[in-house]
Amino acid sequence: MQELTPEERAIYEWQIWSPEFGESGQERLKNASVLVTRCGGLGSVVAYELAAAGIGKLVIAHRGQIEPSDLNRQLLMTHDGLGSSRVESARRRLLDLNPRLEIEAVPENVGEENVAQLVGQADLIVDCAPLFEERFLLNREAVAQEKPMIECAMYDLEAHITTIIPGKSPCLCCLYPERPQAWKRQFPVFGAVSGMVACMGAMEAIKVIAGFGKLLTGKLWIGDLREMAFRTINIRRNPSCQVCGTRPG
Amino acid sequence: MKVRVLYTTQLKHALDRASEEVDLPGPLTVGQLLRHLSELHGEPFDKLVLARQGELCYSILICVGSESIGRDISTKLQDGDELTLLSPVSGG
Repeated sequence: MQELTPEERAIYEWQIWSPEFGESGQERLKNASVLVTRCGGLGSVVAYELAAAGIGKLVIAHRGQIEPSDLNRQLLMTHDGLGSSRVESARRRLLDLNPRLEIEAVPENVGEENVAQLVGQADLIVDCAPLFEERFLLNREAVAQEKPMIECAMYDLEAHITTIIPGKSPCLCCLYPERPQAWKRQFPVFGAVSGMVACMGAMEAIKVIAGFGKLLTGKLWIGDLREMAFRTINIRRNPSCQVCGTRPG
Repeated sequence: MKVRVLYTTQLKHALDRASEEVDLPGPLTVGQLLRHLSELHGEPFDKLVLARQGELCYSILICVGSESIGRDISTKLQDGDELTLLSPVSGG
């Protein structure tokens, strides 16, 4: 395991003070890799917070060029970059913050053809995809490769998050075995809502990697910023789940 | 018996309400309550909660209080229970 440099000790001093985290937690972050897909309203903030916290390597996957409608929430994209590559903008912004960070920037969304390779490059996945097809692929591959996955999602002023530890906690397909029939690609979104749950997702990732604190395993946190109502629901594994049902608990 | 029903995300938007109180004769199961809600709200409810054959859609998460009940719509409800229908979200 790579040790911290004097520069890193100085940069991360204030979080190293956190009980149960300490210098060993910081070293674990430095030696860890996280896949974030995509880098939109959720993924931009997840990636930025993990870069700020001193994660060693980020794999970011997002296809396409920056569009005007990205700019209300995708904080790694800039107005000057309209029309240019999203993932390259994300790489540049992340390296501005943390030039020590190793970044694998993939100009593709998750698909059947690349999901195994993308998941294989990371110790942990933070699922920030806008399409259920991508989420189900990531879930299947994370379970197959026994990688923890943080599942962040939002709609309007509501947000959901759970932490999936394959074989121990419900996977995405335990909760939702099928793509919702009436689901639409379009969703109302404020950046402050996606950013809020993204920060929670980044913190769950940090806790999993550093091995401290209580996780949202077997729990679904739901928050409604319109009503300012927050609660946690106990969720269970589905013994007949097509993805994780045969795995020992 | 009175049961409070909470709606989330797309379901909340489709029904234009975050919650409602239902007063029905007991004993009452989750399945019976869902059938009542289907009759009450019609298509906006059905298209998000029910599958094509009128059975429960597999992409709805149902909770009684703070516990998910999985697929078990035979779960019995008690007076004062709170039922949450969570339609899945993926946005960001």
